[in-house]
Amino acid sequence: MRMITSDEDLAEAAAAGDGAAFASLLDRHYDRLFAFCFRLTGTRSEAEDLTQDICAALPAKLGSYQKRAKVTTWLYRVAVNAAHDRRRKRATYAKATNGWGDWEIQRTATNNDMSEKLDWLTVAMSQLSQDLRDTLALVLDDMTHAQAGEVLGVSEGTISWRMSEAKKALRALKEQEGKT
Amino acid sequence: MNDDLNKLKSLMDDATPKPDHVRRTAHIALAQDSFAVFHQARNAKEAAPTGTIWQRASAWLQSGPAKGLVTASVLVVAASLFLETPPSTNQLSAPVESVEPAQEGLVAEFAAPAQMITADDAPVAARMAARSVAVQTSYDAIRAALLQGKLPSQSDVQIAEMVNAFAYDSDTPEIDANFAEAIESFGILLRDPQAVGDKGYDDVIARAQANLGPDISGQRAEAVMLMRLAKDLSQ
Repeated sequence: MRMITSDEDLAEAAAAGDGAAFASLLDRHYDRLFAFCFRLTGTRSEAEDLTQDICAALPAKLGSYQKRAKVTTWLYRVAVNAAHDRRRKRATYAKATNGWGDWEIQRTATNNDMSEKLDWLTVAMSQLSQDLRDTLALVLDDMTHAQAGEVLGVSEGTISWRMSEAKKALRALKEQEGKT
Repeated sequence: MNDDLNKLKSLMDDATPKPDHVRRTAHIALAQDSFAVFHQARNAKEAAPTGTIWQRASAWLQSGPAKGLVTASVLVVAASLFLETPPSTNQLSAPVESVEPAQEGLVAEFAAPAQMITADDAPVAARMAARSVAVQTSYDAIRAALLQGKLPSQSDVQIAEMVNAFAYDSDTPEIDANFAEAIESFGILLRDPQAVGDKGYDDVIARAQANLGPDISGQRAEAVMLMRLAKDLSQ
């Protein structure tokens, strides 16, 4: 029977200098990482740039990997930190897009129904603060509040509070739609 | 999860694109290159000779790559430094070549290339690799022009690329942002000296100098040196 090497074993081997383990680990997680970057940024091009940044920095970041820690949690923390860096740069130079705020003009919907859904998603995301978007990106990726808190460096209670705020914002959006 | 969140998750799942195959391959290749550079630097550090700075400098000057990089002018400056503080085993005997006074200090400042870096510096090596691979920065073109004693042409100065080349360091984000801002102003100055109003080279240099951060690779200090060189050349 063929044994599948765990993520944690690959990460430890990669941290010790095993290039094949590193390549295997990245190949295994790239698609999920890219999807997470998209949820953090709201545009394909920003997600691609962010993923590229992370790929370039990942070998050095392996030094921060704690043995036996969940690889996804560590990887998402790296991604969130890289996203925050990009946002700071964007705030400084104001030369990039606003991510979710600009999404609707960057994406071509193929039909009206899809277009309406995307509009709703864009409106919903753009109404949330950056902290709430980050939190949602993790929770919508099926992370528990505890895991999301670990990634974002806040308590589980803070994540629960943020999710409550996100739900309020979505409810308000729904009520607004009902009036119009 | 309530209905609103379920709706959001469903829409988000539908909206999330698959990665482009070509970019996926390129990103993984970039990561592997960065990985190789990172571990080469780490291995080199482990094998690095110990000793005084003078012993290490002498060893470096005799190494193959260094011979190609060090000009006679640099050796003149280095030799003068050695004479002021003679090491016990000074093996420098390079022929003397005249150095223009205005350039002499600058040449001395550039006498320590990346090979001299022996700090706890493996992450920096990865960043440098990432810079050269992922960001086709204009920094090298600017550096080359300035070291040849001329200001770069405007087409050499790609400001966004310069900023990207220096801005990323997640350990010190605020300092990074400030330093990157100084780099941006520097780029603007090179392209159009009138564009930044009163914020001339002195201001840019002061801001960069105040936001060097850990700079264990010395790249940022080198950028400040380039700013000083550009200032000298512009006068």
